[in-house]
Amino acid sequence: MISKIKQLGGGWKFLISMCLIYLAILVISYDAFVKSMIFFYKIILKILPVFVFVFFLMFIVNLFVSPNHILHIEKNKFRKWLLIIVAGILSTGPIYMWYPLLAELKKKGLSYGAIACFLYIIGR
Amino acid sequence: MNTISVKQAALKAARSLWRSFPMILATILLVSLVNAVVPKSFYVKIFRKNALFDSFIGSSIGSISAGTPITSYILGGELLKQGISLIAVTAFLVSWVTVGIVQFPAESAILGKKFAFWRNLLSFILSIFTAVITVAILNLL
Repeated sequence: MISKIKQLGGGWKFLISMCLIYLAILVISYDAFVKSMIFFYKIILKILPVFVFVFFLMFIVNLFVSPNHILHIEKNKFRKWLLIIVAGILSTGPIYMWYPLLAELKKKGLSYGAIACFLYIIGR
Repeated sequence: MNTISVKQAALKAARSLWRSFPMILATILLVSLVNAVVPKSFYVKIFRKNALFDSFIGSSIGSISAGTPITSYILGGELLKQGISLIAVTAFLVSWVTVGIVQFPAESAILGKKFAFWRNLLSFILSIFTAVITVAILNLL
Protein backbone atom coordinates (compact mmCIF):
# COMPACT_ATOMS: atom_id res chain seq x y z
CA MET A 1 0.00 0.00 0.00
CA ILE A 2 2.87 2.34 0.84
CA SER A 3 4.39 1.77 -2.61
CA LYS A 4 1.01 2.67 -4.19
CA ILE A 5 0.87 5.89 -2.15
CA LYS A 6 4.43 6.73 -3.28
CA GLN A 7 3.30 6.39 -6.90
CA LEU A 8 0.55 8.96 -6.45
CA GLY A 9 0.96 12.54 -7.69
CA GLY A 10 1.67 15.49 -5.37
CA GLY A 11 -1.95 16.61 -5.42
CA TRP A 12 -3.26 13.27 -4.16
CA LYS A 13 -0.54 13.12 -1.48
CA PHE A 14 -1.54 16.62 -0.32
CA LEU A 15 -5.22 15.58 -0.21
CA ILE A 16 -4.43 12.41 1.75
CA SER A 17 -2.30 14.47 4.17
CA MET A 18 -5.17 16.91 4.71
CA CYS A 19 -7.60 14.02 5.34
CA LEU A 20 -5.18 12.59 7.93
CA ILE A 21 -4.86 16.03 9.56
CA TYR A 22 -8.65 16.26 9.72
CA LEU A 23 -8.79 12.81 11.35
CA ALA A 24 -6.29 14.03 13.94
CA ILE A 25 -8.35 17.22 14.48
CA LEU A 26 -11.46 15.05 14.94
CA VAL A 27 -9.71 13.19 17.76
CA ILE A 28 -8.07 16.27 19.34
CA SER A 29 -10.90 18.80 19.02
CA TYR A 30 -14.35 17.78 17.76
CA ASP A 31 -15.47 21.43 17.91
CA ALA A 32 -12.68 22.58 15.53
CA PHE A 33 -13.45 19.63 13.23
CA VAL A 34 -17.13 20.55 13.01
CA LYS A 35 -16.33 24.26 12.42
CA SER A 36 -13.90 23.31 9.63
CA MET A 37 -16.39 20.95 7.99
CA ILE A 38 -19.17 23.56 8.13
CA PHE A 39 -16.84 26.14 6.53
CA PHE A 40 -15.70 23.54 3.95
CA TYR A 41 -19.33 22.76 3.06
CA LYS A 42 -20.15 26.47 2.67
CA ILE A 43 -17.13 27.04 0.38
CA ILE A 44 -18.01 23.98 -1.75
CA LEU A 45 -21.56 25.28 -2.22
CA LYS A 46 -20.20 28.69 -3.27
CA ILE A 47 -17.59 27.37 -5.69
CA LEU A 48 -19.69 24.72 -7.45
CA PRO A 49 -21.14 27.27 -9.91
CA VAL A 50 -17.62 28.66 -10.45
CA PHE A 51 -16.36 25.11 -11.09
CA VAL A 52 -19.04 24.60 -13.75
CA PHE A 53 -18.25 28.02 -15.27
CA VAL A 54 -14.50 27.27 -15.36
CA PHE A 55 -15.20 23.88 -17.02
CA PHE A 56 -17.34 25.66 -19.63
CA LEU A 57 -14.60 28.25 -20.26
CA MET A 58 -11.96 25.52 -20.60
CA PHE A 59 -14.23 23.71 -23.04
CA ILE A 60 -14.58 26.92 -25.11
CA VAL A 61 -10.81 27.52 -24.98
CA ASN A 62 -10.09 23.95 -26.16
CA LEU A 63 -12.64 24.27 -28.97
CA PHE A 64 -11.98 27.77 -30.26
CA VAL A 65 -8.71 29.18 -28.92
CA SER A 66 -5.48 28.22 -30.64
CA PRO A 67 -1.89 29.32 -29.93
CA ASN A 68 -2.24 31.69 -32.93
CA HIS A 69 -5.13 33.47 -31.20
CA ILE A 70 -3.04 33.93 -28.04
CA LEU A 71 -0.12 35.17 -30.15
CA HIS A 72 -2.44 37.64 -31.85
CA ILE A 73 -3.70 38.91 -28.48
CA GLU A 74 -0.15 39.10 -27.07
CA LYS A 75 0.99 41.26 -30.04
CA ASN A 76 -1.36 44.15 -29.26
CA LYS A 77 -0.22 45.21 -25.76
CA PHE A 78 -3.06 47.63 -25.04
CA ARG A 79 -5.76 45.15 -26.08
CA LYS A 80 -4.06 42.32 -24.18
CA TRP A 81 -3.92 44.20 -20.85
CA LEU A 82 -7.44 45.60 -21.34
CA LEU A 83 -8.77 42.07 -21.97
CA ILE A 84 -6.98 40.68 -18.91
CA ILE A 85 -8.16 43.52 -16.65
CA VAL A 86 -11.79 43.22 -17.81
CA ALA A 87 -11.66 39.41 -17.47
CA GLY A 88 -10.22 39.73 -13.96
CA ILE A 89 -12.87 42.25 -12.88
CA LEU A 90 -15.72 40.12 -14.27
CA SER A 91 -14.39 36.86 -12.82
CA THR A 92 -15.52 35.52 -9.50
CA GLY A 93 -14.70 32.85 -6.97
CA PRO A 94 -11.46 31.91 -5.19
CA ILE A 95 -8.30 32.30 -7.24
CA TYR A 96 -7.31 28.62 -6.97
CA MET A 97 -10.39 27.68 -9.04
CA TRP A 98 -8.86 29.51 -12.00
CA TYR A 99 -5.47 27.78 -11.93
CA PRO A 100 -6.47 24.94 -14.33
CA LEU A 101 -7.84 27.37 -16.96
CA LEU A 102 -4.77 29.59 -16.66
CA ALA A 103 -2.49 26.56 -17.00
CA GLU A 104 -4.35 25.64 -20.19
CA LEU A 105 -3.96 29.18 -21.57
CA LYS A 106 -0.28 29.16 -20.57
CA LYS A 107 0.21 26.01 -22.69
CA LYS A 108 -1.31 27.91 -25.61
CA GLY A 109 1.14 30.79 -25.13
CA LEU A 110 -0.34 33.24 -22.64
CA SER A 111 2.46 35.09 -20.86
CA TYR A 112 3.18 34.84 -17.11
CA GLY A 113 2.68 38.61 -16.85
CA ALA A 114 -0.90 38.33 -18.09
CA ILE A 115 -1.56 35.43 -15.69
CA ALA A 116 -0.10 37.36 -12.75
CA CYS A 117 -2.21 40.41 -13.66
CA PHE A 118 -5.37 38.31 -13.86
CA LEU A 119 -4.66 36.65 -10.48
CA TYR A 120 -3.97 40.03 -8.88
CA ILE A 121 -7.26 41.49 -10.10
CA ILE A 122 -9.43 38.46 -9.40
CA GLY A 123 -8.20 38.31 -5.82
CA ARG A 124 -9.85 41.64 -4.93
CA MET B 1 -11.34 27.18 -34.76
CA ASN B 2 -9.20 24.26 -33.53
CA THR B 3 -9.35 20.86 -35.28
CA ILE B 4 -10.86 19.20 -32.24
CA SER B 5 -14.34 17.78 -31.81
CA VAL B 6 -16.82 18.95 -29.18
CA LYS B 7 -16.47 15.63 -27.34
CA GLN B 8 -12.66 15.84 -27.38
CA ALA B 9 -12.76 19.45 -26.12
CA ALA B 10 -15.09 18.48 -23.26
CA LEU B 11 -12.97 15.43 -22.36
CA LYS B 12 -9.79 17.50 -22.40
CA ALA B 13 -11.37 20.12 -20.11
CA ALA B 14 -12.65 17.39 -17.77
CA ARG B 15 -9.21 15.72 -17.66
CA SER B 16 -7.47 19.05 -16.87
CA LEU B 17 -9.91 19.77 -14.06
CA TRP B 18 -9.61 16.21 -12.72
CA ARG B 19 -5.81 16.57 -12.59
CA SER B 20 -6.19 19.74 -10.48
CA PHE B 21 -9.10 18.37 -8.42
CA PRO B 22 -7.16 16.77 -5.51
CA MET B 23 -4.94 19.85 -5.13
CA ILE B 24 -7.91 22.25 -5.16
CA LEU B 25 -9.93 20.08 -2.74
CA ALA B 26 -6.95 19.85 -0.37
CA THR B 27 -6.52 23.65 -0.58
CA ILE B 28 -10.17 24.18 0.35
CA LEU B 29 -9.73 21.77 3.30
CA LEU B 30 -6.68 23.77 4.42
CA VAL B 31 -8.51 27.11 4.04
CA SER B 32 -11.42 25.73 6.10
CA LEU B 33 -9.07 24.46 8.79
CA VAL B 34 -7.16 27.76 9.08
CA ASN B 35 -10.44 29.66 9.23
CA ALA B 36 -11.82 27.42 11.99
CA VAL B 37 -8.67 27.09 14.08
CA VAL B 38 -7.38 30.69 14.04
CA PRO B 39 -9.57 32.84 16.33
CA LYS B 40 -10.53 36.32 15.19
CA SER B 41 -8.96 37.78 18.36
CA PHE B 42 -5.54 36.59 17.11
CA TYR B 43 -5.53 39.29 14.47
CA VAL B 44 -6.11 42.07 17.03
CA LYS B 45 -3.43 40.80 19.45
CA ILE B 46 -0.66 40.61 16.84
CA PHE B 47 -0.55 44.33 15.97
CA ARG B 48 1.53 46.92 17.93
CA LYS B 49 -0.08 50.23 16.90
CA ASN B 50 3.07 51.36 15.03
CA ALA B 51 2.20 52.24 11.41
CA LEU B 52 5.45 51.03 9.81
CA PHE B 53 5.79 47.82 11.81
CA ASP B 54 2.07 47.09 11.60
CA SER B 55 1.97 47.46 7.81
CA PHE B 56 4.61 44.73 7.57
CA ILE B 57 2.75 42.63 10.15
CA GLY B 58 -0.51 43.31 8.31
CA SER B 59 0.95 42.06 5.02
CA SER B 60 2.47 39.02 6.76
CA ILE B 61 -0.75 38.03 8.51
CA GLY B 62 -2.82 38.67 5.39
CA SER B 63 -0.44 36.44 3.41
CA ILE B 64 -0.97 33.41 5.61
CA SER B 65 -4.65 33.99 6.20
CA ALA B 66 -7.34 32.27 4.27
CA GLY B 67 -11.00 32.83 3.54
CA THR B 68 -13.27 35.01 1.50
CA PRO B 69 -12.40 38.69 0.93
CA ILE B 70 -15.55 39.65 2.87
CA THR B 71 -14.05 38.04 6.00
CA SER B 72 -11.01 40.28 5.59
CA TYR B 73 -13.25 43.37 5.36
CA ILE B 74 -15.01 42.42 8.60
CA LEU B 75 -11.69 41.76 10.32
CA GLY B 76 -10.30 45.01 8.91
CA GLY B 77 -13.21 46.90 10.41
CA GLU B 78 -12.59 45.28 13.79
CA LEU B 79 -8.89 46.12 13.61
CA LEU B 80 -9.65 49.77 12.83
CA LYS B 81 -11.99 49.91 15.85
CA GLN B 82 -9.11 48.59 18.00
CA GLY B 83 -6.97 51.54 16.88
CA ILE B 84 -4.76 49.77 14.33
CA SER B 85 -3.51 52.17 11.64
CA LEU B 86 -5.25 52.38 8.29
CA ILE B 87 -1.96 51.59 6.51
CA ALA B 88 -1.66 48.32 8.43
CA VAL B 89 -5.28 47.38 7.80
CA THR B 90 -5.01 48.23 4.08
CA ALA B 91 -1.82 46.16 3.78
CA PHE B 92 -3.65 43.33 5.56
CA LEU B 93 -6.63 43.51 3.15
CA VAL B 94 -4.50 43.70 0.00
CA SER B 95 -2.21 40.83 1.00
CA TRP B 96 -5.18 38.70 2.12
CA VAL B 97 -6.48 38.62 -1.46
CA THR B 98 -3.27 38.84 -3.49
CA VAL B 99 -0.80 36.71 -1.51
CA GLY B 100 -1.65 33.10 -0.80
CA ILE B 101 0.67 30.95 1.31
CA VAL B 102 -2.20 28.52 1.86
CA GLN B 103 -2.80 28.28 -1.92
CA PHE B 104 0.94 28.15 -2.67
CA PRO B 105 1.10 24.32 -3.03
CA ALA B 106 -1.75 24.36 -5.55
CA GLU B 107 -0.41 27.39 -7.44
CA SER B 108 3.14 26.01 -7.69
CA ALA B 109 1.89 22.56 -8.77
CA ILE B 110 -0.43 23.93 -11.48
CA LEU B 111 1.31 27.12 -12.65
CA GLY B 112 4.93 26.42 -11.72
CA LYS B 113 7.08 26.91 -8.59
CA LYS B 114 9.06 29.85 -9.92
CA PHE B 115 5.97 31.77 -11.02
CA ALA B 116 4.12 31.05 -7.73
CA PHE B 117 7.14 32.13 -5.64
CA TRP B 118 7.79 35.41 -7.47
CA ARG B 119 4.12 36.35 -7.82
CA ASN B 120 3.53 35.90 -4.11
CA LEU B 121 6.76 37.63 -3.08
CA LEU B 122 6.13 40.65 -5.32
CA SER B 123 2.47 40.81 -4.27
CA PHE B 124 3.61 40.84 -0.63
CA ILE B 125 6.02 43.74 -1.22
CA LEU B 126 3.52 45.62 -3.38
CA SER B 127 0.76 45.23 -0.76
CA ILE B 128 2.79 47.45 1.58
CA PHE B 129 3.36 50.04 -1.17
CA THR B 130 -0.32 49.92 -2.17
CA ALA B 131 -1.32 50.50 1.45
CA VAL B 132 1.01 53.51 1.83
CA ILE B 133 -0.10 55.08 -1.47
CA THR B 134 -3.81 54.44 -0.78
CA VAL B 135 -3.68 56.10 2.63
CA ALA B 136 -1.58 59.00 1.27
CA ILE B 137 -4.17 59.67 -1.46
CA LEU B 138 -7.02 59.37 1.06
CA ASN B 139 -5.31 61.98 3.24
CA LEU B 140 -4.98 64.33 0.25
CA LEU B 141 -8.64 64.09 -0.73
